[in-house]
Amino acid sequence: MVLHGLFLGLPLAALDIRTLPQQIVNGLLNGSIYALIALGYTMVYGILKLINFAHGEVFMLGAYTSLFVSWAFGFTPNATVEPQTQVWYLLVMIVASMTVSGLAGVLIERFAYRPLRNQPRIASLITAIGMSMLLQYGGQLFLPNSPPPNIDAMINPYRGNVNITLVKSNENLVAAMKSAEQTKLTADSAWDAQKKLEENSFYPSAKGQALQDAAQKADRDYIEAQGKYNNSGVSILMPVGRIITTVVTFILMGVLSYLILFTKRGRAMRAVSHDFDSAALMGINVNSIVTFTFILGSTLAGAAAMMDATLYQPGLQINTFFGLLPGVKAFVAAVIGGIGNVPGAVVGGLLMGVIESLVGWAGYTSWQDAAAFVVLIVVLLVRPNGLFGSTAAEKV
Amino acid sequence: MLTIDHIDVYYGAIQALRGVSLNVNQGEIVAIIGSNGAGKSTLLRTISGLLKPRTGTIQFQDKTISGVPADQIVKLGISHSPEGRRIFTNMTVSENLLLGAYIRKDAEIEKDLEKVLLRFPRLRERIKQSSGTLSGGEQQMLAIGRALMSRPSLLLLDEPSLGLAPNLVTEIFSIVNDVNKDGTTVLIVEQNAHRALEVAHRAYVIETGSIVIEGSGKELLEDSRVKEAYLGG
Amino acid sequence: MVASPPVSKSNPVAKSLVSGILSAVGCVALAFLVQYISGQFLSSYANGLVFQAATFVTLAVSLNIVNGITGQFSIGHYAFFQIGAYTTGALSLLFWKKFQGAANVPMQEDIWIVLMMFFGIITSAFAGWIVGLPSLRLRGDYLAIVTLGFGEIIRISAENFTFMGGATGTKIAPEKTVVWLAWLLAFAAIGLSRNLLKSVHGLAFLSVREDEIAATAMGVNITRTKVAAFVIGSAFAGAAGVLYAHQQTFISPDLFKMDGSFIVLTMVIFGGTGSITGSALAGASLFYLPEALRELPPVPFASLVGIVLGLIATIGALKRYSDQSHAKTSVKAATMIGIIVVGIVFMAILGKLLSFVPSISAHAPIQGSQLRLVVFAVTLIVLMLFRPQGVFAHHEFSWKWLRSVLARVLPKQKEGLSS
Repeated sequence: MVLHGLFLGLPLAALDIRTLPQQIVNGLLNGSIYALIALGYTMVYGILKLINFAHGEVFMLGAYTSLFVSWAFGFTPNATVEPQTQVWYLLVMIVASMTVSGLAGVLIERFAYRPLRNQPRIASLITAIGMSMLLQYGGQLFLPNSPPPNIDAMINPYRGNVNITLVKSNENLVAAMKSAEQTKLTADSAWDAQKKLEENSFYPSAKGQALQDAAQKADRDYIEAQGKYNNSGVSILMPVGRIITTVVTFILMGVLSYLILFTKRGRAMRAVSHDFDSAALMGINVNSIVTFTFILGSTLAGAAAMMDATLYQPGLQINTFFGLLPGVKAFVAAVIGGIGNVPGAVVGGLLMGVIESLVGWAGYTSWQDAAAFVVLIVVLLVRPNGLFGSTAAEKV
Repeated sequence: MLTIDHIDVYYGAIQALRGVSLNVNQGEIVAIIGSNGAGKSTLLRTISGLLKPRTGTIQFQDKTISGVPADQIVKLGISHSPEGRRIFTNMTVSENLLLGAYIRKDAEIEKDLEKVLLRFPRLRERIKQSSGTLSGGEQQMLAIGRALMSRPSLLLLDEPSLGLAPNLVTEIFSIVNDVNKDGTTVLIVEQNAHRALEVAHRAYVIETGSIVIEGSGKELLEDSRVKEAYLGG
Repeated sequence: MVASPPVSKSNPVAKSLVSGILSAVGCVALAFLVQYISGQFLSSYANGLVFQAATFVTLAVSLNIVNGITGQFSIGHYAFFQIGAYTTGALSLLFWKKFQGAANVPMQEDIWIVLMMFFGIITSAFAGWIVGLPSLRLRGDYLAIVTLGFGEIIRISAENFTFMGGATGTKIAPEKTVVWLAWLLAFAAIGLSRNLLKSVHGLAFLSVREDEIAATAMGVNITRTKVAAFVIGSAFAGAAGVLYAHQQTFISPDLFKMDGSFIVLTMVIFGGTGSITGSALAGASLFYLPEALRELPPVPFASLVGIVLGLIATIGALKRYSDQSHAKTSVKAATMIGIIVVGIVFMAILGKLLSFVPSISAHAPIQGSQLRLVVFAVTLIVLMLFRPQGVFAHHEFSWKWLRSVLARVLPKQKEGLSS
């Protein structure tokens, strides 16, 4: 039938169960970036009941800051001299990008959202959309498109991998692999020797041709044997950079939960999120709490931006739309987790990463971005307040 | 202690208070009575800084407070228990009470918490409970207790008897009396004119945004106009 | 639109029928008149603009049915537009050649496009029904996100339609700019909205916007009303998408990015949610705005920075003044115009001063077309800061309305209306 070819020209790749653990771990590691951004959405929504559409752009500004700082350290895209590698460069980058993002968040709140505090909520929502467009398209006039900071050159440990073996490879296959390797080495050296002899002739001789064929076959056999050996076990490869982001995410989530649940300022935040007027009657300066919330959320986005921009992702470019997709997905994550709920945002972010990873694993890479929204719609229909949300029905 | 001088308050283009003047002296209970929509709550919200008067001034202990933000006014010693109680239902009883002491940094918060719990023993039973699960009367006690936690010199109470059973109303008003005896000045807004006038030293009647009658609590209880309009003839 | 002629007063049904038919005939005539004038006297580029203006009027007016009249906050209107375009894209790729061979009649391209509009309406209305269903459970910003998500799902799906060129897109035939049909569609959207508001059904839509619980209590079927609004709104968007596809002749997922939905949303908000004439006028004028920017000479970078800084200062000053002043409307308007004039002078001076900074003056000038969406964004924000209810608010544009506004803004002889 034509229709199949028309609409769903998608190969259902043979699902390889042995790569599943690796995919899930990839998803969790990628998801931690979403989780960090989602924390910002969830906190701002909790306080202002506003979807801060410009949050993705705050993230984008953080990424640019990291980029510019790395340039200042000499890591320009066309640097001729390899710069010195220093760990503290990374710290300067993350602190700078958190600062700039935090500042951007506060300014956006002060000048775009605060004047509309007493208007219907839809007005702030539309302003947020406008702000997001303004930063994306207005930023284009001032900011360059560039490859991300060249962090691999900057620091080695960041680039390394941790390898965890879940199922050991079948040792019986080692012998076969070893012998294939031996054959390969012999064939290779024979062909190399012959190659030297025939250096000046344009066409290889019959003997040379046979040796070349043998060497190539030995190569293939060896790779096959090696593959067989490797595939007989299950292992997970984790880039150190990703592990660091994940650990940082969990630390920040812990700090944030503690702050909100057990400190005086956290109590004030919860009071403000419940009711502005009553909070003010307690002597709480509502504006300063709102500002504080924006600082928290935006600095987290800045941290996420630095980490995301510096992780090696082939073909990645930093442009003014850098925050668009991560922003939207993180927002979806926040909604899935129950918006306004801190642990929910983290779980939602990780879930988002895993789902994306699994969609890719199933062979639907080009549908990865759509998966986020499908999940969103399903979750909202089944549990309108998200997985962990408990707030009452929406009123506008 | 509190002097309000000819204030006009607007909600957008609608005028809610017209040239209202009143004063509250140290140690008094002053009641403001009036019907629904007369501007009673607006008056309290203006005193506590949630609304700003367009003209006129409010003075508290010789300081002009009109235009000062609400959170600063609390620090000056005015505590407002708002209409409809407005407790933080997403938090526990103890968290609500601690928020009442938000502005304080002294070491006696625990002592005051104990005092409030002595005054409202029912709150002690429910101290770890989410405040959303409290009954109406308990929520009102929590609202008053929370307002007391800031150690106010002036307590503003908005309709503390609203929606409560008669025996609870009695309890609330006796607590108001006790609080006053302990040295807190009280400005109370009520629709339940009879009860309010009984406890009040002085009272004002407010109608469509203006003060129409003022006098001592006893005088107003006898006043024929008040009797007809608010005390059921 | 068209004044109804005097008919005997004794039969109101006949009267409304006659006036309805006359309006319809009038609209058709007007649509053909636009087509004739635009085709005869304008360049093909300008003719295309006349066509697209109608498309955006249709989009804005149809989104207004969902957003403005029924109060369901949808921010993914372009999805339905895209569904229309892709419906005709697919069908035209498959069958247009055959149709062309089989039925060799005059105006066969127009006939084909009308046929396609029919299919486009069916698919997009169906999609509207699907999106309308969650609106029963979700309100406010949650619904907004679902509509946004739906739009993205549609766009990403299109990227996977390999037979239609996937992410690159595809060329489709017939290539035709049907101006009369576009305007007729716009008139139909306006007429339908207007009749809706005048009918009992219209009251049902409005009641859902104002208070759902009260509406239920009055016996309004909320489910049906909301879904109906989505179906009607998306059907018009889909029809517009069909026309647009044949005008563009090349369709790709990139044409239907999220920004498009935001632009249509801006139009509705700008005109005033609920105001039909507001949406229509905003649709036409905001559509033209970026085109006008394209004509603009390149702006020196220094001037642009000056304008940005000056704009922020001016907006800040205006907002401060308008929030704190309780002066008469006429005085207020005059002062605000004054602030704007000062602001423009400030921008000019700042731009001149900045041009002496070497790093700024060395920057390449900015093309007008680069400012397209920036201007939209600024319009949206400024509008929300100063008039969140839109230019016309919930009013309809009429000379009476204009007079009443002018009466308030201009200084008057007799005192009054001062608050």
